Amino acid sequence: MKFDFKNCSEEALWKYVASHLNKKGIDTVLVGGAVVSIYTKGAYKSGDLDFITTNLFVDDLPEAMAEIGFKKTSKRHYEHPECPHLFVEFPPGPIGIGEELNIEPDVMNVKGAAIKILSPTDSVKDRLASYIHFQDRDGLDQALLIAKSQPIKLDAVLKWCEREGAIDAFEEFKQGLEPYSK
Amino acid sequence: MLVEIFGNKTAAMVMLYLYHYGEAYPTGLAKDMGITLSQVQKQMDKFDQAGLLVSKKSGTVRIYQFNPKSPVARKVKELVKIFYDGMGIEEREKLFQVRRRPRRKGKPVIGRSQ
Repeated sequence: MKFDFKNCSEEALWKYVASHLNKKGIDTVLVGGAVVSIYTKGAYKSGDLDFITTNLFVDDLPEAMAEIGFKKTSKRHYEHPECPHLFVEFPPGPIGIGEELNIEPDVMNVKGAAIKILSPTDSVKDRLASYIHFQDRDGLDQALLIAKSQPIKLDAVLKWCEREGAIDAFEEFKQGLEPYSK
Repeated sequence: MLVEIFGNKTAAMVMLYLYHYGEAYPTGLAKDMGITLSQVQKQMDKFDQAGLLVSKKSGTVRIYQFNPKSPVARKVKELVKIFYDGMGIEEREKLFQVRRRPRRKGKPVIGRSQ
């Protein structure tokens, strides 16, 4: 069945692109705003999909993306002519959130391909990192959206905030969750 | 040695400048360090592509800083710090003559460029 690029969601496009790349031997992890979109079932609209490749050297990415109709439009962006509402980006790796480098993504099996996505807890940390380091309040809002939609490990978020020297950000995040924890 | 690690003098200068000032815009950096703007832009673009730097627009100017979210950028910054700390105060004053921190409007500057 042909993939519906015109009307696809972030989740559908992630599964389609990641499973294709996986079959080509290119291992990716979905990070960034699209993860928020997926975990909140579309309550947040991202507009792009950020894939980090876990392979250190990937030479044939443009060819692999071209096979599914994506054209390279800048050093790390890819666009599909039938998919104007979503583009794909490959930010440089490795995956890291502040001081944390050993990130264990969640794995999903899609038609025999193991595709990876930041866990809800790590996605909360990732969004809080934007709030902490760029004073981006959207980051805090997105972290809250995830935590309201998915089970997260609050202790792990606390420890991470402590390591980042951002206990105030954790307190603000926790306060934002309070109306939903009763 | 910093030049050898980063591959060229412009790259090393960009790193030291960012470490000293915390942020930079290409025109200012090029002028302060006596490097051509195109060299600076090319180098900052490379660091941006590598995820070491992030940038944001402020009016018509693009301002760069080390990527605080990246663990790799943090380690690179630590590496730059070793060389920065190894410079003498006189060398630093000579290299980073321009004051870039916030300053009350109209306050005179003695012995430095504004």
